[in-house]
Amino acid sequence: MNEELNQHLSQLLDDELDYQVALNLLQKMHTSPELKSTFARYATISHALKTDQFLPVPPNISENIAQQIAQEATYLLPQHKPAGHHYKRAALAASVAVVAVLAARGVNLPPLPATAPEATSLQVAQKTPAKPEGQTIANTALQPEDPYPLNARISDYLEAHNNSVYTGEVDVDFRPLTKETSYNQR
Amino acid sequence: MNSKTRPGEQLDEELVARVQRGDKKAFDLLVIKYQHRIIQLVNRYVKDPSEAQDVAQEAFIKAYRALGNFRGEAAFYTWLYRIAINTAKNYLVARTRRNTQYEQDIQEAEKIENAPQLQDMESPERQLLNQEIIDTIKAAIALLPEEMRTAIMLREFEGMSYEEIAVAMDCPVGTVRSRIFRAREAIDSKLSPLLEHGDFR
Repeated sequence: MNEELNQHLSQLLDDELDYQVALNLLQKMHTSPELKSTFARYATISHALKTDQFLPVPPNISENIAQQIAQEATYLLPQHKPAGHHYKRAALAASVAVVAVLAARGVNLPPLPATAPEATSLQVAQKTPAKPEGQTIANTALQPEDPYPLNARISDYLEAHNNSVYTGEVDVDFRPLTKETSYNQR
Repeated sequence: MNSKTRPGEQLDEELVARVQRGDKKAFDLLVIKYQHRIIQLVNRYVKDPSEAQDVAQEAFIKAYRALGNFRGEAAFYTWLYRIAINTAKNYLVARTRRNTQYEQDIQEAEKIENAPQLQDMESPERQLLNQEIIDTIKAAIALLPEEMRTAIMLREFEGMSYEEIAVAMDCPVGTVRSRIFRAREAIDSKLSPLLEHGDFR
């Protein structure tokens, strides 16, 4: 085991050690003075062979640097996110805004005068506030007699908001939302 | 990562990214990996070993402070190398100013670099010990088997990679790896007794 580690130290010195093995070895060296010392001796031999000079390196030098670094400010660089994230957020915010506007309009729309006295087409999609149970049952009982049936109102709404009319895929009698709301107020 | 990136560079990129995310321990690993190379580099300018160590430490601290601006255009070691050289030159200029009161600039530091007679002179005891260690290493190399000696010489003197040595010696890369390691172990076994008993500071 020790021999294998020493061989890895020799390879690390020559920059010939695979990424993951080198990372593991450095982490072991961080806590092992013995490994640090062996690495220092290999480095000393290498330097002496090349320069005919002996240059000792005390093993605690990395600890001295670590102590000084510990007193330095920690790096927290801003994370650079891809530009697409901004578009996604903007699209999400826009969608939420549209839904909120539609919901608000639905709440403020006046009731239909003759054809649909109890509800507007937009109110169909909106959750109605809690009412006394008896009244809800009474309203439900009235639905079949409604002259402007629920299904027809949903169809009108969907037709007015069908994107296909904008793209020309379907040839329909396009009625924008403004028309839809205005004819209801007629 | 570039396909031509060496394993060492890939490791450096990973450790630098960790430091930039606030992991100080990753910088310790970079120091452990490069401290010897940086001290040896600085020692080419600052001849006193203890001063060279101080300058190397200063270079690492500067590198840590500047790491936020490191964008990986060059390899990390190349970047660190430049910081270490500039730190060493600045140190020489500052020291010369302190000693002589003369104004000197970086160019003058280059002159000092090229004039060994102006650099720190070692004490006679230190010179003697240095010579003893060099002689021991040379004797250990002379005793190595031919294949080990060739492998380590090609590595240390010619700077060849393991793959190139394998081609030159007509053997597998694993054999080269093993021969270089065995050579270092053999030299280390002769050197260790001297290092344990010597006072090198």
